[in-house]
Amino acid sequence: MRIFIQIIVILTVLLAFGAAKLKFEHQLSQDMVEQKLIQPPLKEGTSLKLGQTGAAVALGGLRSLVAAIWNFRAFLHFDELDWIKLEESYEIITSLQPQTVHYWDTGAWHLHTNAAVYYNENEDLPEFRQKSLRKLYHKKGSDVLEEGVRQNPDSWRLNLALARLWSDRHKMPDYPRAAEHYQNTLDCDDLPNFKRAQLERFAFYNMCFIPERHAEALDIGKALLKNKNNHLPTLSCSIFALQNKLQIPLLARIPDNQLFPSQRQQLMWLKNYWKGRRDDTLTTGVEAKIRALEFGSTF
Amino acid sequence: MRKENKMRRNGIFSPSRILVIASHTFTQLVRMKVFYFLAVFAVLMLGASYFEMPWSRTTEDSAEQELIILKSSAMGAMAMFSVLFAIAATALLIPKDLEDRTLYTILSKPVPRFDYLLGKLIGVLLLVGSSLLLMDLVLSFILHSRTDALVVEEMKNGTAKGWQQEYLDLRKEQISQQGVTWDLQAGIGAIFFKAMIMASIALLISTFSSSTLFTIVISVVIYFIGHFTADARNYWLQSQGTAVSSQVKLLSQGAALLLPDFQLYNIIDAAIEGKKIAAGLFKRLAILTFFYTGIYSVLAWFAFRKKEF
Repeated sequence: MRIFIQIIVILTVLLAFGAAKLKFEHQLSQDMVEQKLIQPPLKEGTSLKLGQTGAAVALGGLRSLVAAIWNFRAFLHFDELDWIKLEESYEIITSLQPQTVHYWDTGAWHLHTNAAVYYNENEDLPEFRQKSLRKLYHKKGSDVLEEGVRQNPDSWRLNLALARLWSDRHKMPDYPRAAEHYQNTLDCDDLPNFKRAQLERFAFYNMCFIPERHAEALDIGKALLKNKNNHLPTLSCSIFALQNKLQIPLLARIPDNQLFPSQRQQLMWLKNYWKGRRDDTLTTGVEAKIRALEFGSTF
Repeated sequence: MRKENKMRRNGIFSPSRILVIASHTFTQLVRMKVFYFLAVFAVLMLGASYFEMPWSRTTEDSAEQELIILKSSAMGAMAMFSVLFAIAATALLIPKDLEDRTLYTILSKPVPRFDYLLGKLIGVLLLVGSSLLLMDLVLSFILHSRTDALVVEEMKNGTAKGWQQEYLDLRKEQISQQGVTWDLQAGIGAIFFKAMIMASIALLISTFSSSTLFTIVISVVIYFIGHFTADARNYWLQSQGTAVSSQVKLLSQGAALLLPDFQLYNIIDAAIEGKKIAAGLFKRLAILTFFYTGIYSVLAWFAFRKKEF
């Protein structure tokens, strides 16, 4: 009987203490989540997927250790080209460590690059299946990055990974979408200064692939040119082609002698630009200029 | 007559008496050869420092990831050891004293039971604390040398690639942040706090339990559930007004009120990832830990104060 009374007293004290500490604990928890010191609760269903490991996570409270082990496991799935298990592994890893950008980035890369290429080049599959699976895994990779951005909106790395994915001509480029992601990358507060100029140039090059935004691209290009460090071959050639494409009147144009260091350099840069062109590269007036410069240089 | 007066002056709380019991408990536990675990830990650390994760790709932060893996395995082992040891050692203490009949010798003297319990708890915590300190030293030494090696490697690599000084400095700072920092020490502090709470919970249970195994099992279950307390509290606080069954609500309320929230101690993960841990937050966590330990110790005394042997 005494022990029951004791247990009741103990429980009552614990309940009273619990009520007193509840607000303090809740506030501390919120502050820690806000400062990204503790992870938000696991997504619904993750514990189920974790299975026995879930118990270990709860037991040890060490999500990073379990995530590292699953990352190792994911590597083995990659080695075995088991893309389904790899995808599942990264789903678990990113649920355990949603604030670790590296996991989102690597998981997405496996899907949109390795898995997509694997299916695209798998000769055992009919062609339509190759294409559809390539598209599917490309989308899966993008979705992983989108979710990563949703959970880490300030991550310039993830925004950049999305921009690169959608502007990659070897994949399935969607330049307007990439432009949005480049802008998001540039808007991130933690973007290091030394990266900014380079990414602004990349955003500009990407915009040159969007016909509806050529006028805007030219303005950006002009602004970039004000920085001497940006006087680079591709930037100069792109502005040159943009001016031709938009048929900018002679007086409103940036003259060639301001775009290029010398006629000799102009010829060399334009030739390289021409050689490296793709179907969607802006080349208006480039070929003609090369000819004119070559003709001029022979006399 | 004089002796009687002396006995009366023997108050409920005597630091020197508690210290004697604590040091005796510490010696008692050391004799159980628990420090052998440190050899295992050192081997684990050496192995982890040489282990190279089979990276599928080299990213800008590969060096940091290597250090994170090293810290993960070390701090994982530290957390496991400290909690399991805190539970098992505390659960063993009273039954062992009973078996050796030391308990009768101590309690027949004018030693208040609260002092006895507190001495036992402090003894366990001294052992857990000193073990953690030794493990921390091993980790810090290996981590420091590994960080230095990675910084040198990265600087060499960056210089060869012609990186700007600004970028080289940033890389150095980023890699060093994954090395030995105060934030890492705060993470180890959180491991100790967790062990402190678990030891006091085990002490409370052992005061009315008659079996060591029962104490260990219940403590482990509490530890397990304690990691879901935050979910229960959020569920309770955020589900007001929504259609939640009364049983579920009662269960989540009970868990949130009765059990400690161990998720708060998962700043260990943040320390592993090299995040900055604000001193203010760490202090608040320390306050909470002392409150928990205090309340469980007082309750343990309440259950133990009139226990007959």
